[in-house]
Amino acid sequence: MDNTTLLHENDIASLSKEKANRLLWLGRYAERAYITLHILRKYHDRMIDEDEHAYITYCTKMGIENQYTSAADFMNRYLYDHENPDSLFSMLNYANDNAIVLREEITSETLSYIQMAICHLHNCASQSSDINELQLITDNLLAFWGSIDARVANPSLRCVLKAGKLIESIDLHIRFGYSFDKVYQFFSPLGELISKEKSIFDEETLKRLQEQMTKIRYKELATLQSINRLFCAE
Amino acid sequence: MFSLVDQRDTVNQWMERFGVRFGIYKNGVFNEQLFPFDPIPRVIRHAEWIEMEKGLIQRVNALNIFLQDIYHKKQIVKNGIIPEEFIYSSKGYMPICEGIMPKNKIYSHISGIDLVQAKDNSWYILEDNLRIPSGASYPMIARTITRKVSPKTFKDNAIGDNRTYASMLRKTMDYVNVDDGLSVILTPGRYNSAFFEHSYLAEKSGLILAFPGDLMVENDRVYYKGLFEKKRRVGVIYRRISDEFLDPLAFDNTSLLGVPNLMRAYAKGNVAVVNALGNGVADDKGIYYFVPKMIEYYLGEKPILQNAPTYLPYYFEDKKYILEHLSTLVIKDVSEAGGYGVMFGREMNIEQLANIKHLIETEPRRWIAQEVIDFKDLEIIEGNETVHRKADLRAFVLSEAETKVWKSGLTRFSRNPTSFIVNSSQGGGFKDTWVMKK
Repeated sequence: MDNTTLLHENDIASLSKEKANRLLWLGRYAERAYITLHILRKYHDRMIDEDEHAYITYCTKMGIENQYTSAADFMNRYLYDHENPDSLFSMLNYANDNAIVLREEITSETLSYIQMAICHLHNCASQSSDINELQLITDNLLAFWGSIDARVANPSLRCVLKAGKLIESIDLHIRFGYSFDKVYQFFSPLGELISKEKSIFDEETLKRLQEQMTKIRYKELATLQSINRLFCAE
Repeated sequence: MFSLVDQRDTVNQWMERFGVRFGIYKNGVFNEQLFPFDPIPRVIRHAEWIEMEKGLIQRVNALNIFLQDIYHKKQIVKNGIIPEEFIYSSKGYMPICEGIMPKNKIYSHISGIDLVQAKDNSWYILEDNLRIPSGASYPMIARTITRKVSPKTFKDNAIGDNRTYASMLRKTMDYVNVDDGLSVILTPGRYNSAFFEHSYLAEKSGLILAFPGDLMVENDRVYYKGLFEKKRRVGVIYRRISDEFLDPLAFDNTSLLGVPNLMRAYAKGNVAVVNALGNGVADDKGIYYFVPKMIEYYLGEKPILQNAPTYLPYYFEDKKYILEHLSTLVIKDVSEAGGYGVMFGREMNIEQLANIKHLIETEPRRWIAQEVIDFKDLEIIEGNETVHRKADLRAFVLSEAETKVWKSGLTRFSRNPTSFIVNSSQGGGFKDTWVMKK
């Protein structure tokens, strides 16, 4: 029987600039979709009986245009509108656009979790399902990261993917006003990752970011700017 | 096998899960769709396969020698076996390849030979694909999935394993790798119709999937551009890009897909290209007519597998026959592929027949005519019914130290009950191909 994937001969020298970028953005979009669902559930809860216009605050914090006419319009179009570049639909498709060209690196099994998330979103979109029906997408995104850990052996590849995940996580947690301790939970492992693959990250930006990452300054715009300039293979 | 049929929806869900799709351009818009899979396999008996295997190896060996001969001594032309105009007027003939000897003298490393089975069970070669034959990935992944969903089918039947293709491909590439460099698949990109195949083969064979722009040539050597100017030498490129787009400095200078100066590196023997450039001269539909003669000329053997009865209007007697029997023949434009440029005389009206007659008389080299083979219909499931449809078989022959045939193949079928055209680009589906162990 011969059904195993043959060993890849990859290392950092056979990681092209484009591939590194795709890995980073795969990590970012997969995490963006995951955290978006998490935060949306909280806002959806608020909109039930507490503040029906909470979506306006959401849009402001997320830094996206409020193009929605009501909470219901927001919950429908922000989730399912394939022409809306801000929507969950677009986030997952951007993740897929990057994942599909990385099949040989992340494996078909890992890619399949993104594919299944998209299939489920299509099904939910066709029925205008409630956000509660999207738990399977969250589950698939968690399985995606589990599969990365289990199946992607190359440490450089994993480092870029995880860096994308953590960068997105820090960005969104800062935007939505999470506490310093919570944000630092993501910053700390990012620092460890960067120390292993220094060449892919900009050291000067990292220094600036470390200075910014204090209880007083972490919410400043400069922190968000630095976090988004950290990766320098672009 | 019945349980496999019952599990058709489950198989298709797995296909969707793994992103098994092919792209298609319609009216300038790119769409990806699932390649319809039919759960009833084509079954080839062991003894039948042994004979086919011999015939396929014989044919590909002759074609490889032909390519070497054409780009070097041209003995087959000098000895009058093939008229020289069939070589030099072929769109696939590339003067730039004259005198270039690929590593280990292999031109067609991966050959896709299309066959059909007639109702009397005899097999006919329909065409040779020696440039970029595609399709092996679909039966590969289909088998992986069908074994998951219906293990009993495979326990109860002695079916040869077809999941060996990845290692066969890797071995084929390793055999010609220059200086132990990287092995890469060069894809035109995400929006190529066969992108799934490129990425799946890269994954399963442990190859690097390179995109246009990832490769560069320096001092006539090819390098993969890693991060921060780190370069790694490339030893073999399985290119999924046509010859004319491979090097903008040697061919189409508008190509954004190619690698500038790749041709120089290849000509100097500093990198292997799988399949070799210039192979189009051997899979030209006009040259197809001469393949049985090639086998006799180069190997001194009788062809084991037969061509479909073919006529060349280039020869006076053949032209006369074609013009007299046009309404019963199939006419093929030698410059077309993918099921395009194929016309059935019986489907043409008087005006169309007159037009094609005129074209055959004025451009005889452009056409071939074949008897319509009444190929055996295969059962497929449509809705809840079993229906019969036309199907062909693409066999994959890999040439390294030895020439080997992959014990499977891509069986494509027409979904249109009246059509003989099975190409996926024209809406066809596919089946697994079982080669029985005994």
